[in-house]
Amino acid sequence: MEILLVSLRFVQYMAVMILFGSSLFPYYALARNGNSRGCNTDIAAFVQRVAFYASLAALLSAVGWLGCEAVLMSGDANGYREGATIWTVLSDTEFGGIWRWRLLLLLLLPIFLGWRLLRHRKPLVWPILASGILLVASLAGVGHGAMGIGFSVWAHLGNQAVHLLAAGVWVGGLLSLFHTIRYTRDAALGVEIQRHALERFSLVGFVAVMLIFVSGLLNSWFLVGSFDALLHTTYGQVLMVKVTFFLFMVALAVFNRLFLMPRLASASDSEVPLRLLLRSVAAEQIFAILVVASVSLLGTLPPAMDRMVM
Amino acid sequence: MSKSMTLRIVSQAVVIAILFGSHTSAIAHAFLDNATPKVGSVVTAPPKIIRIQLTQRVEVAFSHIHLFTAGGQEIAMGPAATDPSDQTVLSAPVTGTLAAGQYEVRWDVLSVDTHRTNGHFPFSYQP
Repeated sequence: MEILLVSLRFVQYMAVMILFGSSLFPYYALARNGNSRGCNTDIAAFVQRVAFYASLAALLSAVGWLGCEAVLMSGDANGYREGATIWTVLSDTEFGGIWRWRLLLLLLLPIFLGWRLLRHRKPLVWPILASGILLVASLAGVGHGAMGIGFSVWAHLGNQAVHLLAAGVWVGGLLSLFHTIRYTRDAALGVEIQRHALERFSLVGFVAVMLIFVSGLLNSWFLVGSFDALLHTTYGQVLMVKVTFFLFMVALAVFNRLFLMPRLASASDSEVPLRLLLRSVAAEQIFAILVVASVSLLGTLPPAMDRMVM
Repeated sequence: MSKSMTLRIVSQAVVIAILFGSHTSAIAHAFLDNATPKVGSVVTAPPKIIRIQLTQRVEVAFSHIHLFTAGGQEIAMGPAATDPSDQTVLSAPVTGTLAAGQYEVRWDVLSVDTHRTNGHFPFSYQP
């Protein structure tokens, strides 16, 4: 059951981060002038297509997650198919209070997006972005984010929401960045659009990394508590693995910014740095997936602080 | 050692101290903090209510308190409820009759972070 829950958590985290980060990307990374209008429309269409599949994945994993919680909370292996248990989880727990409206939003979003795709409507990004913000931030209230008593509940919730949103900007944004670089590869103004998108993504990514770093430190203070707990508990060890993957992402981002971008601007033939850049962004995406996988596991483990007490 | 290197080492030490400095904030999962009757105590009047205070807020819908005699016979208890002003306090009324002897309280709770914990403690009733 725990393995299933970790997998469902992974799908949920990835899907909503992609919803949020990929739909935010066009707002800061694309130029608003006429020359890049074709590209902007294409990215919006890409975001809408990705959001449709991501919202379906988020809906299915949210339903599965609810079933797992019904089993784990009730201690009954058949809890996932007992209406009364599911209803008690949804109506009488803090998890259920958040999950009820998340499920409603996740039900409406793919219907709305599917209808727009079928009718070939002009891509609309802002409803995806608004839903993405709500879906990512609300994950803060589920699991360890809900711990605490009094003021510390709100402090921890707020910090966790910032951590998840900042991670979503980066993880989801990478996907849109990858598509932008690929799409504009052969375009007349390709290098200009790529350079602009990369510069803006670098800037926004830098702010996101700083927020991830600071909120991550605070989270560790809440959930780990001591250097000893970091080293000698499963939670602490998985956290160190996660931080290592995160540092690989940062290293690749720095490599892109300081080494590949200047080459892209100066080289007469941009094909070589562009290919390298695509590979580097793809590698960054792989590390992002590994970071999210670690997060999915961390949520099911007892926080390091608990183990040191027990 | 250059000034900039000293500065860098000091700033790194500050970050590490902030990150790993030991602290005593709330525990994430729900563990027993204190109970009434007190853990291992001897009471002279039969308790009308069993009350446990946990280290984390709990979900009452999936939290229970049971009372057993030393021989393993369960004593009837009413449904558990949390204190309206403090969700870390769970209590349940004792509806069965207690004879003199050793008893064991067994509790299992679901904390708001969706993790289950359980435990037990003894007390004696000597009128």
